[in-house]
Amino acid sequence: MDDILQIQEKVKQFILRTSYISEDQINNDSLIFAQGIMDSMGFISIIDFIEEDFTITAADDELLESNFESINAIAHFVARKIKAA
Amino acid sequence: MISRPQRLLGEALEFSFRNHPLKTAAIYKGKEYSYTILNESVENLAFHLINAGIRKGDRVAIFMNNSWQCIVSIYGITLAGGVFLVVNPQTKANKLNYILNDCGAKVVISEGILINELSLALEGLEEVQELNLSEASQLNRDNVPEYIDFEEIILNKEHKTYLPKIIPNDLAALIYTSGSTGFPKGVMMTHQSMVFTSWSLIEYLRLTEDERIMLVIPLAFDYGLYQLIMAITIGGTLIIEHSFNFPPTIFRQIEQLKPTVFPGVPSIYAMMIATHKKNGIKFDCIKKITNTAAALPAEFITDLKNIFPNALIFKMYGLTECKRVCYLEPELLDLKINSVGKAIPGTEVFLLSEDGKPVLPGETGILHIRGPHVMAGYWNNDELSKEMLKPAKIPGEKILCAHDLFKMDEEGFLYFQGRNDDIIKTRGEKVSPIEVENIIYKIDGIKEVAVLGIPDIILGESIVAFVTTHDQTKIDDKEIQRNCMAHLEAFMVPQKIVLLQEMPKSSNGKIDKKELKRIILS
Repeated sequence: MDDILQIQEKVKQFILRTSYISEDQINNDSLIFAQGIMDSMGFISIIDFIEEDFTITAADDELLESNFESINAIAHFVARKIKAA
Repeated sequence: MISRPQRLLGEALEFSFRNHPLKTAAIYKGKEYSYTILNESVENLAFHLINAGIRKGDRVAIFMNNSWQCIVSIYGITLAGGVFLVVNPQTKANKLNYILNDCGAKVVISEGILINELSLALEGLEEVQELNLSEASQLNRDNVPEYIDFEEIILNKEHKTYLPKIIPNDLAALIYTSGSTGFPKGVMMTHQSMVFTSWSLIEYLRLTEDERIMLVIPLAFDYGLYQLIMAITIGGTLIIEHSFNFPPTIFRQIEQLKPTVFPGVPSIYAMMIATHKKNGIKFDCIKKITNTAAALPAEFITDLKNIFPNALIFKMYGLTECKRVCYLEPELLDLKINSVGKAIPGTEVFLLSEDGKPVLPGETGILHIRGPHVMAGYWNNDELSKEMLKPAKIPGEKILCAHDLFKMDEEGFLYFQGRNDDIIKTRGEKVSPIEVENIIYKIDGIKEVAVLGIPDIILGESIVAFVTTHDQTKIDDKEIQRNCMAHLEAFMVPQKIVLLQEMPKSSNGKIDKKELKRIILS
């Protein structure tokens, strides 16, 4: 099972790959939607990414900004889902 | 008694406050703000600005996300007799510095979360006398420039001064838009022009005081700004959201707050359609949706009717220099599929050939616009103003030449054919290719760059950068995009980078963009 640091790193690499932000301009607490690093299309790609790479499903009532606002938030959400599975 | 007509932008708030003091004017982050609170906060800010030295015609810049504080600022500045400008919160320091310098802003109103770019932008600006900062308490960094707390200002009721007398001819706003020179230019709008436009829009959109308008478009964009102006003018309610970046929040807000009007752009509608196909979202409360900035693809219509079963769909077209040009009556949506309709109420449009002669129905011509909604010109830029504003038959009147190509049918309906300048229109924002090229030229190894827009069903146009390198070295696409992201707003970053061995040139040695367009489209 992935530990939280590994999940964080995977999420971070995904965001670096799909957005135009450079590594020195983002940290694990950067607000990726509030700061415009990701937009609505980016949101869809994040959902697809976590569902495929971590084989989890995000339910509608879990699509809260607090679960997705930063790399850390996404990593913790994914970790919780994996644990619950 | 005959009621007093609205002459100034700020009078809309005064009238709506008097008519419905307790009604909700705005909803932001779960909190409702009545017209009484809005009016009081606006007055408090106006008196503060006057005490701070703002005089009639002085520019006050707002660098903020869509928020309650932002709308208080807009009306506060206008009540103080100042000229407001709202700068997109994504703007990077260099460009922000250019805009603040260009307009000679005396006061800047901003928020804590934007302090990094703001501090850099303020360096060396001598005309800025005061910074008002909202939500500044969370700041935990060194070198925060001196500021006054915005939340304290709008609570302070000490009004020991007088409001200035402003008249409809006075400037109300500068709206910055990308220019073909690579530098943004400030579109000057007077009170009479903005009041006229707001009523023309309200008329054709058939808005009533029961309307609840959902704002996801930035207030820095005239499309967003007029949602606020219309909501206040009709005495309706504005539901304020930062953006559409996190769609599930917006969908939940629509369910809970039941807006009646949803203004969007094709990229937003595309996202809604994708979600609708996945989980069948449907919003019964929405009675009107509007689209501008890029053409609404005909294939979207069926899905939009399913998502918004009770809504009229308004297709519109405009440019910042006159706010809006035309709209299509929603009842004609299926009849005039590719048309953006006719001139908005109280205005006129016509098409002229390159040599200034009227064109026949069905022929392509350059769009010209006449009416009180046309801008007064570009701030500090007579030369560019003359390129856009042409003398009319009536002495002193100016006609706006849009540099956009249209066809008009026998009945007067307009059909967009393309642009005849270099400006790219993507996600509803204007992008100057030169601005992007200038950033890419600074990257090591780059020899030549040409940036252009190619048609894209969702974005309107997507941005492509063609590059050649010294010694034909390979270059990392991502590196170019990251460099752009560090210096430009996100919507200006090219979606595609094409490395060429050699740049096609025209006979006079200039990069041949027509040939590049042909290469990418073939």
